[in-house]
Amino acid sequence: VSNKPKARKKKYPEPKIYLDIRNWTEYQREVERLRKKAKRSKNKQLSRLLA
Amino acid sequence: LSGNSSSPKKVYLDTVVLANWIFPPQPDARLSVRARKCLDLLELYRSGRLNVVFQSSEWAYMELAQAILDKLAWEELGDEGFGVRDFYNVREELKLSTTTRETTLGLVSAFEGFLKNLPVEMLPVRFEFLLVHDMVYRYGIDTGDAVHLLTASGKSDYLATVDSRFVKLKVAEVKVLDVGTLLSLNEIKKSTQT
Repeated sequence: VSNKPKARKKKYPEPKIYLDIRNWTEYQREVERLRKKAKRSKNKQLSRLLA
Repeated sequence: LSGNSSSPKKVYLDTVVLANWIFPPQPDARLSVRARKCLDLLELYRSGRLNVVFQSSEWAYMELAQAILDKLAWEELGDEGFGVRDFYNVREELKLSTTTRETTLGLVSAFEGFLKNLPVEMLPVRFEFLLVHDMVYRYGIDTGDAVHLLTASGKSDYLATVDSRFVKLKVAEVKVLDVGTLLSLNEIKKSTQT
């Protein structure tokens, strides 16, 4: 049995650093990707936010 | 000639303008007049027809976070029949799922990247509390708007907003203009042959 203490599970993930979005088209594409992800996950909060 | 070829005007963008950019409308979306004006400003700038430098500050990002949380809370709690007055009391009950939080951070992060490359010059936020208080007392505005005013003061030619109360104040530090009024100014348009 290892005496190594178990690493604590992080409660919240660290926010990611900003994405290098070069223009409006890329930004719209990113939002669209998030919209689709929200729809797939059936997350009502997200779907409403991004609607 | 119409428009002008003088040095570009510095236009500080209020959080309400950025809030209308962060959620790009769906093609079939019905837009308010305010939202349309904000998107027109972006479109004209992107197409190179404006002789301006856009500015804002990290204070706007702070306020955007609040705006997003309020939107989420209103969508969730508005269904439960709470009135606007009660909304602020029940807002803290809102529990965001990990997915919502991560996606929201991703959205803000992407938006930051977009603004950086647009480009929007980010001014250092001025938090000198006595000056912030002075503006709050002088104009009767909230502290958030006072920080924007102070930050833009002496650095920007115009502060662009769609908040009509802010426009009516006639503040001395910077010309606060409605986005529609700003777009009607010849001095922000690039020279074109007629």
